[in-house]
Amino acid sequence: MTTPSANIRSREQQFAPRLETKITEEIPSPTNPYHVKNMRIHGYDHSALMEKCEFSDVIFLLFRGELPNDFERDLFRKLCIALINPGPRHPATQASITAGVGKTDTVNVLPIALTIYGGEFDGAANVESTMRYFRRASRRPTNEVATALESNSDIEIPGFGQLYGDADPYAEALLNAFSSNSSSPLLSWIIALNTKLKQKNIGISKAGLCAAILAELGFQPRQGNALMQLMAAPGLLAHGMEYANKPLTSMLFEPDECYEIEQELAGSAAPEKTREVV
Amino acid sequence: MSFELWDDYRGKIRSKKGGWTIGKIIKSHGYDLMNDLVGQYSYMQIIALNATGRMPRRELADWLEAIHICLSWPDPRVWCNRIGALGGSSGTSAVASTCAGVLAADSRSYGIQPLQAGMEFIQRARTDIQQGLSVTDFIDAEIKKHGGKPHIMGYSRPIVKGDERIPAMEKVTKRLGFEVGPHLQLAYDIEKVLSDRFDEAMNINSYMSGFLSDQDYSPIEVYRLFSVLVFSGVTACHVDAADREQGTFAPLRASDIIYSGKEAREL
Repeated sequence: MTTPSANIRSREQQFAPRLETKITEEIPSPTNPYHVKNMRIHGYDHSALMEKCEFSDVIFLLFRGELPNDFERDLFRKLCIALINPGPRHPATQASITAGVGKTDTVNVLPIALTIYGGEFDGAANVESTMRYFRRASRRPTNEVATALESNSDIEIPGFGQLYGDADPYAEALLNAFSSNSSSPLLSWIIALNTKLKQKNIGISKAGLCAAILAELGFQPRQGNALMQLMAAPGLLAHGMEYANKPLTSMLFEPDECYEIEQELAGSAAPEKTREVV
Repeated sequence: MSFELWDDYRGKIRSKKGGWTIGKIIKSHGYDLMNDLVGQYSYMQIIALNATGRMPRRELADWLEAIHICLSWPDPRVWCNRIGALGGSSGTSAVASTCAGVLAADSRSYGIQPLQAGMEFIQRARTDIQQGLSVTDFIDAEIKKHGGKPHIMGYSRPIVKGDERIPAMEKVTKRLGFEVGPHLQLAYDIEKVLSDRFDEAMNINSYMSGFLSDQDYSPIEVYRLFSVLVFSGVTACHVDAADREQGTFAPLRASDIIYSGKEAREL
């Protein structure tokens, strides 16, 4: 069999000759063009931001291009703290602890934890898709959304669900902490929908909470998953570092009687040629 | 009780893959690792066993090894490799740089995700055509889905048209004694139509997807099996940069960046 693929030709695509950014303006040093004399972030002097702004304000600025107004500042600051610590039982925190106690190079601990936090289970994987859903669905009455679930129990409502078999009460508590920000139309819609779905033991997830606030604040959905990771980073890292000086024996290592090797059909027979099924 | 499932798992670990019974045996997929596998099977066979739960024949493992060679080479302009080189130039460890490059290739645009999509595509194509659709009608329907453009998974490649890896792998496939199966044949049939109409040839994704579908792999199995497919080239690019002065890979003067944002403003 021959293929036209053997004929290799360039598509002659034009790649950008230089990087371009709307975020950072670096003013070069007069003596060394690789050094920076001053830096502006979306037009604001970096050192002025250090003097006058909160950490969460500058994160907001970096992603949205403007400093937050009072309403936005309060909402975003509260979200950063709401998500700051997934807690010691979270798989991502356990990964952080495992890396810490394993004496993994400390610069790898946070990337390890954040990678696991990028999953779907109580993690950041679905913030983007949930933001897109909330943007569309919040134009409809909450009754309509909740009724759709009644008529078809297989329907999933992004941002809502169960954790360990029940609606997640802590995610709901975090949501309720935003009730004073009720001038947010989307947040009001989410709180109302959560109330309706609670009767079915379905509740807001932490990713759903994150998606709601970020959508309300005008963040791009594409930024959502990664921003939730960013917000959880301090708590994930702190738990890993807590174990970084502890001995290996301070971490769980289940004894043999608690380790069960189950039979898997494909691998259960004797290792003979006939088992080579692929 | 709603949390019974989690209580059942609490305090114990279950595995269908294997484990280490201290002082007795290390088991992997029903094999005794030290007595049944070490020295008797190739490393690639074990990689496939761990990823899919099935032990491939040696010839298939050799094919998998050959295709891995095709999928990663040391050019730091390639996105994942560039990340490895930036790590090398920054004094980042080889492990961290390599893992960073591997993570980068978990991408919709290149690396591993398009391969899974290519598997899904060729298996769906075969099902549709088995149900009576002609290859031409199938392609027309796919093109319609993409707004009239011939953007079909596995049949275009960034930067170049054509793919030198296919002739190389065709030789390997033949030497190892594999026949062209129905999925791979369909990949060629689709290529013929696209080549005649749009001057687009298949790329390595389509070739792999056809071949691996004929070996009864599923899309998710292939995603798992090839999860670190770019690592070797990333490591090479890391090493090249790490052995030079720090910061010398792709250095940029401040003036090399085009700033197109807000004018300077007071806080």
